[in-house]
Parts: sequence; structure tokens; C-alpha cells
Amino acid sequence: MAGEGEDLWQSLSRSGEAVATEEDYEHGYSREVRQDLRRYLTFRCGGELYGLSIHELAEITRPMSTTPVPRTANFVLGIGNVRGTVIPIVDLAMRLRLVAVGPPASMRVLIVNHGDELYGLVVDGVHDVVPIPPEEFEPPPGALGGARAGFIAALARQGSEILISLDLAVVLDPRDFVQANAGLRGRQ
Amino acid sequence: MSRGNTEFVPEAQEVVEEFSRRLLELEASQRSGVEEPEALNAAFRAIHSLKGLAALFAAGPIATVSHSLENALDALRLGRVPLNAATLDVLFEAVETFATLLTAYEHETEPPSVERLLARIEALVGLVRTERTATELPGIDESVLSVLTEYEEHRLRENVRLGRTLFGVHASFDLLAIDVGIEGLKARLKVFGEVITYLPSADASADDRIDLDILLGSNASLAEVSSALDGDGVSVHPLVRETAPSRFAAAAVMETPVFGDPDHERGGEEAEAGGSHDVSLKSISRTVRVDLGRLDQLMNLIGEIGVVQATLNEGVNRLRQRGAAPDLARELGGELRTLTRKVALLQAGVLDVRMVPLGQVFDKLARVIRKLGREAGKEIRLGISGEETELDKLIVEELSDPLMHMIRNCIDHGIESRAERVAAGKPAVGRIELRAFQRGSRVVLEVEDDGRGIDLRQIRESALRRGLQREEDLRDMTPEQIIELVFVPGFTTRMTPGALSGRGVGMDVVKTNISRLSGIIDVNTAVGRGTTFSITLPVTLAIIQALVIETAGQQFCIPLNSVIESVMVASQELQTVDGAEVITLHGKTLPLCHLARLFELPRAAASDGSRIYVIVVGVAQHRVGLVVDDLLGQRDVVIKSIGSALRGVPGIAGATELGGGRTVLLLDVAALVEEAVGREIAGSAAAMSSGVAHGG
Repeated sequence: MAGEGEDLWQSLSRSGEAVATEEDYEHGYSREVRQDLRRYLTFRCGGELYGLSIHELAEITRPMSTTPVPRTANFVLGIGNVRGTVIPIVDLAMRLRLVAVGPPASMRVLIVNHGDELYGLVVDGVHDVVPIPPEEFEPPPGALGGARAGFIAALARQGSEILISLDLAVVLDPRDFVQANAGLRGRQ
Repeated sequence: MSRGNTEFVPEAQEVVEEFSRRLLELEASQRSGVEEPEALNAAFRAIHSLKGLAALFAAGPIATVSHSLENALDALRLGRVPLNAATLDVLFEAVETFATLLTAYEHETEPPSVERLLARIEALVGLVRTERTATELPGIDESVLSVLTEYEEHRLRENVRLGRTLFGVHASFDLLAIDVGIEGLKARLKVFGEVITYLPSADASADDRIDLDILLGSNASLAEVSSALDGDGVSVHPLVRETAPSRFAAAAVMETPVFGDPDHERGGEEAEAGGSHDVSLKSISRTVRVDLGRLDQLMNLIGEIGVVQATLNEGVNRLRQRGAAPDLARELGGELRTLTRKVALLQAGVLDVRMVPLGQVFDKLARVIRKLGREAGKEIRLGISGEETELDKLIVEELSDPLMHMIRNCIDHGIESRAERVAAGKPAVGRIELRAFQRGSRVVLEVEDDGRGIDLRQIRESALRRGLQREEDLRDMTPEQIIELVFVPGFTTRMTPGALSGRGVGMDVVKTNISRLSGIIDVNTAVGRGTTFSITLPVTLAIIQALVIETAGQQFCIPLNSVIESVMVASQELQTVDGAEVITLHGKTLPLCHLARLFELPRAAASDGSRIYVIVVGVAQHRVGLVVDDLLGQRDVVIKSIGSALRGVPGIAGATELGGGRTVLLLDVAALVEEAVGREIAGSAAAMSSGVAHGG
């Protein structure tokens, strides 16, 4: 099902819970509709597999031109314009302190909805949409430590890989967007 | 979800506001001892229509309270209940209760209990004046009295009690021109005193005429009144036993005085029916309520049309330069100019729709002043001017809170106690003035009190005590800089928090809120004489004129209303003072500030260094020259938010779209100037600000 990036959004809108292919039945698909099955968009960033609930997702676009905003953290690429709405664009790899490895052609911007506002997340490439039942998630191991631990909401196994579910509230924490020492105001 | 009938809440709010306005009028008149029956009647009418509205929309508690209130107001009107501060307290409490009831209605939450308020209102009505000595009505025929309603009779007695002379005015109108005639006569009569009643006269002179007998109470003499009114079908006569009776007696035959105010006729019993029989299904008002979001959308669209227009313009210019089809190019150019004009008109039109008078906020503040003044035990007289000044609805809404903080400060810190005032030789009653006026493309709002003023020594001491400033820094500060300290977070001169303000939050919030509206706040104070806060605001936030500049290869917009001038300077004119770059402009030293350095933009190495552009920007008394690489021109721009995550970036106010899909940042000049000035005058001030994160 992992196809071209452009087709993905269409396939997203087509693949409802109740739709099952013949192939699915061959593999022992039982028609059991679970209400708590949430679907996740999986994408690559810095060589790792990440996931975001599609409820948090508004749109997937190709990289757009951005206007840099001074005095912001290095992961803030700037502001972009999505059909008249100005939104902050974040380099997710930089935000997660990873190194972007994807070929530029596969790069996409995930437009996510967080706190009623839109943000753009630049990722190395989108992968798939998968349903993951809540019980398959495990809490982030405390020993993981490292600077990135806070960004991880939960982990889930996807075949041989580990999928990292992101905590958008941490990734998009406004306190991190502005440079710490930006514009020391005289009287503040 | 809010209720489907969205019309009710805003309409009811308007009625309540009207009621509150009338109460304030009443209070003023009660204080000055001049009766204001019109204000009382208007308050009564407002509550009457609120009752009708509430019944229509099944807003139970609101209907109950307004019903009870209506009875109380009726008793007030009839003079059965005295109008005094205690009565007004109950009425003002009802205003607050209506507000909470309406909120509860809108959000479909459980309405707060109104039992206490109802009891207080009932207690008012129960307070019927017992010692009511019936004023003798000498010289007035029983036949006149018999046709008057209870209210009219009460007003008649009141006029007699006030020693006014009663006149009968007989007026005859052409049936076709009666509306105009009555209105004109009413206006002329008002000058002399109070119209007690209009009664249609039985002895009409002709079929196509209507005659009225009007009862007027006035302090003027017969000669004065008749010389002003006589003629044109109007005659004035003193109302004594010998004259009028026949006329008024005749009038009694006619059932209802058609031209009188219908409310005059209302008795206690028919109150229930009153709500429904006046209600016409057709709405009287010719206004439409619009969600501000929809207007924003329109504004955005206009901005986008502007962008398209700019692109078209470029196209036509290219066509012209190529010389191909010159006729077509000229024709298109002409049409494009028309389009530009129409778009400008459209833009002005939409902006106009967003404008609301400041009176709305002033009314709220008047209520706050009254309440806080009473709580603080200080008597305060409020003066209001310029309430008709219009501002963008959004700004007006955002203004209420900062203004409230300022008023609290005036009452708590500014106005002294009565004893203190008398001892200082000031009038015992404190005074707060709220003023608004337009100055160019900006609106100035002033809050002035005649209190004790701001004592610089006290500010210095408090700043030291709270560790906000170091002693040696304070010593070097100018009075203006010291006053600015009141806007520093955590600043307060109080040792213990006061009931109203003094918790150390307030003025910094005021400043933040005003800055967010691109406003500037200035303080003017004289110890012992009072303090004036003036807030200067743009008329609208939606569209502004901006200067487009370029520096280090990036474009920025600067709001034109903060630009004083822009000059080109040869680089040899640059001087340094104490390591800071300055130029001399109009004989004054102007500190310079490189935008590229301020924003740490990567500098293009080979920029032509011989000349620089300096944009002189100013906030309050501060002037700073922003150094940029190039001026690209002036544009009308639609301001767009850059989202809450980036709102905290100091020096950036928002973004805007220029042609060709370019998104450009808009500078926050006030913040930049403050930053530059702050750095310049108090190098050590950085120590103060460290640890203060810029929250969103």
C-alpha cells in the first residue's frame, strides 16, 4: 500500500475501517470493527520511523518556499503560506536533533493541526497509513534518556522496525521556538 | 454548542447596556439633585422590552428578574419608591446579574440563583413611601385630574412641588404633517420644562386637522412660553380653573391618547399582556449582526484581490514596454485604474463596518468606577468625552481589560481619601476623566485623574526593595525612565496587596496588551495634581500602510504610522558616541540601529558601503534610526498572524503577503525601539531582563 506520496492522501481518504481487500481475507481478516483502532501516518525522518495519528494531520504537501524568521531556534525554517494562512514550518529532523537523510525529492511537509493552529513539519518522506490498536503501544523506556526522550509519546513495533509516536505538544512547544537570548529588551 | 437563536443574547445585551446607561444618567441626576424623568422612563422601557424578549426566547430567570424589576421601576416612576443610592445599588446589581444570566443562557449552563436579587428588588417595592403627602393641586380642575394616568398625575404633582407653573398648550396639526409637527413642538417644549401629557382634543377645528392639548410644567413665565410657542396653530394658556377644564373633560371621552407614549398608559395588571401585544414580528432595527470572523475573511479576500491587481499591473506594464498592441495596453491600464479605485472603496467599506464607537467600553468602565469607588469608600465623579470616536471592534474588545486595570490603579493609587483631599485643599470629590479623540490615523485615549500623582521617590524605593533595579542604575535614570518602571512585571508600591490593585500585576499587563494592539502608552504625572495615561492606537489592525524595505537580502515591512521619515546618508556622516553609531539629523543626535545586526542576518559581503538608508522610527519620545539596505516602496498590507508559537519573537509583529506568493515579515517597531533605547541608556539593564523569558 505504500505508494507515491501524492497518492497517499487519496488512499487515506479511501481506506475506511470497513474496507478490506481480498488479500486481507486471505490472511485471515476477520471483520471486526474496532472503535479504538486509530490510524497512523508513518513517515521517515533522520532514518527513523515515526508516526502521527491522522487526526492530527491536515494535509501533506511538497516542500514550499519559506520566509526565514529571525531570532528563532535553528529548527524553525520560517513561515510558509498555505492558501493564505501563514504557518510556522519546522525542520523535524533538526528539531529531533537528527540528520536528514532522505533524498530531497521524497521530502514532504506534513501540515499538522495542533491547538487549533496549523504547523508544517518537514520530513524525509511519508511511508504508509497503518491502524495500530492502543495495546500495541508501549511507553517510552525511561532509560532511553537523551535529549529526544521528551518528544516520544509511545513506541510500537512495525514488523522489524520500531515506530516512534510523536508527542506534538512537546515538539511544538512555543517556548522552544524563540531563541533564548533573542532581543534582550531593556526593561523586561 | 451555543443556542440556535443567536439573536437573543446580543439583542438582550444591547438592551441591558441601554438600561445600564440610563442608570448612570439617573445616578448623575440624583447626585446633582435635578430630576430626570426621561432617564427613568427609558430605563423602564428597556426593562419592559427585555422582559418581552426573554419571554419570547424562554429565558426564564431573565424574564423573572426583568418582570420584578419592571414593577420596581414603575414604582420609582410613580414616586412611590424614592430614588437614592441604595435603590441604584440594587438596580446596578441587576445589570451584573443580567450579564451572568445571559452568559449562562448562551452556554446553556445552569443559571445562577437570582433569589437574593429578587428579594432585594421586592424589598424596594415594599418600601412604598408612607409619608407621601399629597401635594395640593390648587387651581386644577378635577376633570383634568380624572383623565390623567397615575404616572401623569405623579409627574403633575412633582412639577407643582418643584414650584413650576403649569401651562396648557393647545396645538392644531394638519393630519398629513402631524409626525413632523409633533416632533418639532416636542423639541420646542422640552426647552421650557416637562411635558406631562398629550391629550387629543375633542374640539377639532376641521376634519383634516388634529388638535392636541398638552400639559406643560415649566419654570418660565407665561409671556416667555407663549412668545416662543404661539402661532402656527399653537396657543399657550395658564392652566387655572377658569380655562382648561372643558377641553380636558372632553378629552376624557376619547379612550386612549393615541399620541402619548404607550408606556404612560401601562398599569400594573396588564404587564403580562404588554410583552406580547406590542411585539411585531417585523424587526424594527435595520441592522445586521455579523461575526467578526466573516469580516476578517472578507478583508483577507480584499488583500488577495490587491495582490492579483498588483500582478495584473505588472503584466500591463510589460505589455506596454513591448510596444505590442498599444491600444489594448492603454485600455487595460485604464480599467485597472478603475479596479484599483473600486478595491480601495471596497476595502474602506469593509473597514467601516468593523468600526464601533468607544462608548460601549466607556459605559462598562463607568459601571466599574462606580462599583470600585464605593468599595474603596471614595467618591468619584466621572467625566466622559469622545465616546462617539470609532475604533475597530477587535481593538475595542481588547481595550476593556487594560482600561479596567488603569481605572483600578487610578482609584486605588491615584485618588486620595476624602479627608486627604480636603487637607490638601482639593475638592472633596475625586475626578476621573475618560477622553477619546482621533489624531490623524490614530486614536488617542486618555485616562486622567486628579489624585496624588506618581511619586518618583516612592517608585525608586519600591524598585530597590523589590530588587528590580540597582541603586547606581536608578541614580542615573531620568524621571521618564523611572516612571516607566511601573510597567515592569512585579512592580508595586504597595507593602501589602490592596483590595483593588497592588498585587504587582496590572500595569505590565496593560503595557503588553496595548503593545499587542500596536499601541503606545504614555504617562504624564504631577505630584499632588494627578496622573494622565494616554494610549495611542491605530484605528484598525486589519489593513495598514507599510514601507517595504530590504536588508541582507531579506524583505521586511515596517508599519508606516511609526515611520517619521526615511533619509539616505553618506557613510562618512556616521559618527560614534561611546561606541554606538549615530548621525546628526535636524541638529539632533539620532542613535542608529542596523536591522541586519539586530536580527543577526547573514550579511552579504559586497553591499555598497558608501550610502545607507536610515528609517527614522519613533515611539513616544524615543527616536531611532533603523539602517537598511534598500527602500522598495509603500504598500497597503493585510496583517496576518504568524501563529502562537512565533508570536513571542521580539521585534516581529506578524506577516503579510506581497505579490508573487512572497510572505514578508512585519516589524514590531515599538519593541525594536524599546530594545534599542533600552540597550543604549542602560547597558546594565540586561542584567534585569535576564531570566525573563519571552512568553507568547
